[in-house]
Parts: sequence; structure tokens; C-alpha cells
Amino acid sequence: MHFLRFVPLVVYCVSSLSSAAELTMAANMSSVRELVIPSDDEITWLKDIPWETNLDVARAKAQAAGRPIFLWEMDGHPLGCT
Amino acid sequence: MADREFVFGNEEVQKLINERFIPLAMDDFYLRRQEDAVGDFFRKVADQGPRKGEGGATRQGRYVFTADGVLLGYNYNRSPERIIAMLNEALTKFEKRVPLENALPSEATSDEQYARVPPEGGAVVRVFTRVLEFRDDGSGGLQRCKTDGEDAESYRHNGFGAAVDHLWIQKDEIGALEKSLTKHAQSGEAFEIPAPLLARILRFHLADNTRGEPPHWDKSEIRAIDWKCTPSGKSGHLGVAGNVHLETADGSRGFEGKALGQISIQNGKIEVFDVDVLGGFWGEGRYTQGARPGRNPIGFVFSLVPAPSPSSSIPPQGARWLQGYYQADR
Repeated sequence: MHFLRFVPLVVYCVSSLSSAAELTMAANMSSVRELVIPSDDEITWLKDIPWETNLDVARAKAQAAGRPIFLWEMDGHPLGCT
Repeated sequence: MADREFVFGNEEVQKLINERFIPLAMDDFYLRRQEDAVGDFFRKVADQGPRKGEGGATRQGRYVFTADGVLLGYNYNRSPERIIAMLNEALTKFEKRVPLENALPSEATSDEQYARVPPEGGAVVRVFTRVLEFRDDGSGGLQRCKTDGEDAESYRHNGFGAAVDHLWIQKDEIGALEKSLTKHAQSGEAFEIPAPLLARILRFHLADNTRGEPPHWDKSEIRAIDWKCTPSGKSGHLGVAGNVHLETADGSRGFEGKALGQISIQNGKIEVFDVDVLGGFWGEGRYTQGARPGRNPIGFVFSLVPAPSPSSSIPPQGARWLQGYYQADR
């Protein structure tokens, strides 16, 4: 693993070690998934709107359906990291 | 985050968009730069509104336009009422137009510099991130942070919601993992994650992206890492465990935590990728200001996308320089 050749392994200082140990105790590790993954109620903006992510596809659908396109455009993908 | 919760989580906004529009979500970073028919089309639409992109500036916002590129509405506001008003005004304009009769020309993306597709034969892993807090009962247990503000007016951009990104894993990396697993299955000896994949996870996916686009980690900011894979005894299954310490040279931003998880690979295909990382994060970036002071709990959850969908094809935030993303160990 050449990119880590000069990285000293396990260099925790005393204060951070206690903090990390407290945080990562087994009970907390086992609950991470439940705490972090969003519930359905949190992501209605994603699951209840059939977002397209391709402009060509959206244009073809808009023409076929006789509807305008609504574009949500952000620096960083609105449905991803933004 | 506020947009998601208060604008596009609003039932009235959802109903209007779903019934009267074709909803589209895109990353302005790529779209405003693409030198191809898709980029040209978008810029032609945006130039009709207030975001003309002078000097390469952002064109982000909410646009309504026709399939042939006529802008009908634009705003950049977090009030659901104002979005609804803009949508209705755009519909009125749309209904006065003559319907298109001819098929649209193809606008296929051709600017390879900005084309991003999930790796062929590889895997897409969803990465959720959320800042957490200790419970008040002194148990040391964690809970979700309480949000302050129940509407767009009182909400602070505190980043207490879950952020999402995607990790892209290449076919040859899956092959290398499977090969190591086969080699060490009998002995049960621990082995390492392929270096580019491990560095990619550390540098681009252990970032606090809960308040916006985060700064990623430089290779030199990987202070310590001892993650190991261990054959689990069940064919094709391995466990992942270890510690990680990431920190900027000046110490103003960092993360220390622990990983624990399992991966299953069968015939060159990842079938399970459940890896959790928990630890303390401190500091913020230019676009992620507003972090809580000091070191605070944060969790990262990696979970395989089982079937492709439009949203799962969204490229990793770190893939804006694709070569640097894939070769994160160099």
C-alpha cells in the first residue's frame, strides 16, 4: 500500500483516543445504520417525485406528454451531494 | 437540505410537479460547462433568465422551460408558496403556446470531459452521512440531532438531515478483493482493501457533506489507517474493521473514527456492501460553514445500490476530476 508508506499507523493522542473510544463503543456502532439512513418520511422529495436526471430523456418525455420541464439545478447534484 | 425538506417535501409542490411537469434534477457544475449539444441547449434556456453565467458563474436555480427551449419561469427561493406561484405562472404561459409538432433533434452528450457514467461491471454504493449527538441520559449512546425550525422561515441550515453520495467501485477492484478473499479463505488471514478503493473511500467519502459541498481530503491528510478485511468463514463473505484518522495540516478540520462492516462477493459481483463508519468530526469548509463547535459525532453508512435507477446513476461528488477519483492513492 505505497500511498500509505509514510503514514505512521495509529497515532491517536490520549485525548482523542478517549473520545473515539467513547463514540465507537459497540452499542453505538450497532445503531449507526438505524440513526443515519433516512426514513421514508425524510425523503419524500426523492421518492415521491419521479425525477429524471437526463436532459434528453426529459425533453422527449415533455414533448410526448405535452408538458413543460421543471428543472432543479444546483452546484452539486440536488439528488446527491449538494 | 432546506430545499428538499420544505420545497420538494411539500405535498402541494409535489402534486403540481407530478401532475403538470416533467421533473428533472441536474448538477450545474457539469451542465454549465459541457461543450456539447446538451450544454448548449441548457445555456440557451438559462440565458433567457437572470442567471447568465458571467465569467463561468453558477446558474443554479429552478427553471421551467419547454422541450424546445423556451424559458417559462425561474426562481431561486425556498418558499413553497413562491415556487407554486412560479409554476402556475409558467403553466399559464405554456398553455398559450402552440404545441410542438416535429420530433426533437437528438442532443446526445458528447463532451467526454464531463460525461460521467457508473463503472461498467463495477458497483454503485450509496453513502449516507448524518451528524449525531450524545443522548442526554449520560449513557454515551447516540441519537439524531433535534432540528430547530419547522418551516422555511425558522429553519437554520444546520445540516441535521442525512446527506447522500455515491461510491463507485471498478470491476478490477472487485476482482482483486475476490482474489484476496479466495487466497486467504483457508488461513483466515487478514488482507487489505485495494489501495485505490481504500484511498477513494477515505478521501472522498468520509467528508462532512451535511451542509453542502465539502472539501475532500488530500492524500497527505490521511494520518492513520488500519482497515483490514477478514474472511468470515462463509464463502464469498468478508468482514471489514479498523480505525481511521484524517486531519488537515493545521488541525482545523479532521475526523477520527472506526469502521465495521461486511462485504459479500459472488462471481465477480458485489452482493452486499454494508460498511458503517462512526467517529468524531471537527471543522468545516468554504461551502459547509455552520458546523457545531468542537468535535462531534458523525456517522457514515455505505450500502450497495441493488438496482440502477436515475438517481443511483448520479456521479460521486468527488468524481468531478474522474481520474483523481479513481486513482485516489496516487
